[in-house]
Amino acid sequence: MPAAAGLEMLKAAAEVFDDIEDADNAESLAAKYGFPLAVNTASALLIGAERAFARLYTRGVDSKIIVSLMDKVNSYYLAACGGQHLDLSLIPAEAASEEMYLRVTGMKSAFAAECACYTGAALAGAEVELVQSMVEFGHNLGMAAQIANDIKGITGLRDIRQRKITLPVTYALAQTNGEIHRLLETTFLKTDIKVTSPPGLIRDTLFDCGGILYASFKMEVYKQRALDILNALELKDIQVKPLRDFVA
Amino acid sequence: MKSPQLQEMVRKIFSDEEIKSQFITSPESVLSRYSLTDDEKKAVRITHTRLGLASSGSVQLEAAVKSLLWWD
Repeated sequence: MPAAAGLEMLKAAAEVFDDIEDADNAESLAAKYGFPLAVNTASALLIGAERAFARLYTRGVDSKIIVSLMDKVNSYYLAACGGQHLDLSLIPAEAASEEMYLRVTGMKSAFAAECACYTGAALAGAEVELVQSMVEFGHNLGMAAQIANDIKGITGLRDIRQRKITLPVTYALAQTNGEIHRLLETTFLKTDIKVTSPPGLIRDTLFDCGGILYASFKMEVYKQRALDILNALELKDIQVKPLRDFVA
Repeated sequence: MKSPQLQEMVRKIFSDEEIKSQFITSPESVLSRYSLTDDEKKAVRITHTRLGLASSGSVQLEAAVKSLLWWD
């Protein structure tokens, strides 16, 4: 429980900082209550997370394991900062490739599921090979979840209004030409130009060129990989039913 | 990992009415023309069953997309 609480607080802190850095969420803590209060809240969450991990000692976890775990979790979140730095540094044209989208998504989004799976496996005393399997499971699960979220961002128009480059958009930019391509370029790459096309038109365009279907296929690829890892573990008599029920 | 053959297949489905029609009625007949990985083929089959062609204006669209978003 302390580890789960620690991970939740770290994730919450990261989201508050992410919203401040991206400045694109009207529902964020910073947007609703101001920058100073949001920073202070995120700082408190970080400290709370460290305390939560330290409290594993009261649950009988060896201090060396706690230190090793905290080091690993911090390395995950440091890598996530690297992903955010990359995301913030890219110009739209650089962000508009599938390779870059997958790279940044892995660093910024999938890492959280990897980290959680690593933590659970490590605290359960799993062997190195099993820990690695769970990390890979977490990576694939995290990628699938982020792509699913990005599909929702298109169907719900949120990511279109924010002109965010996600997988349906990288597909569409690569696979369309002519007027459709120009429409998508203006919307997602030429962010200095105001968009006059209604978001619903952009959504329909992303559907009708295959962008949503392609993203759905990719999401399913990662989801099935996560399930394959669980199935392989079950053959080694590892109990995976709760996780498989969650994913399937 | 990038999926050039999968991208090409999707592009063809949405730009060629005959291939689109073939994919709707018999996805395997279209799948077999592309060098997809086993993961990609499996994903296409499962998604096709659940989502159909995911074009805008589809009656099943909202429900089908929602069924994908198990994370929420």
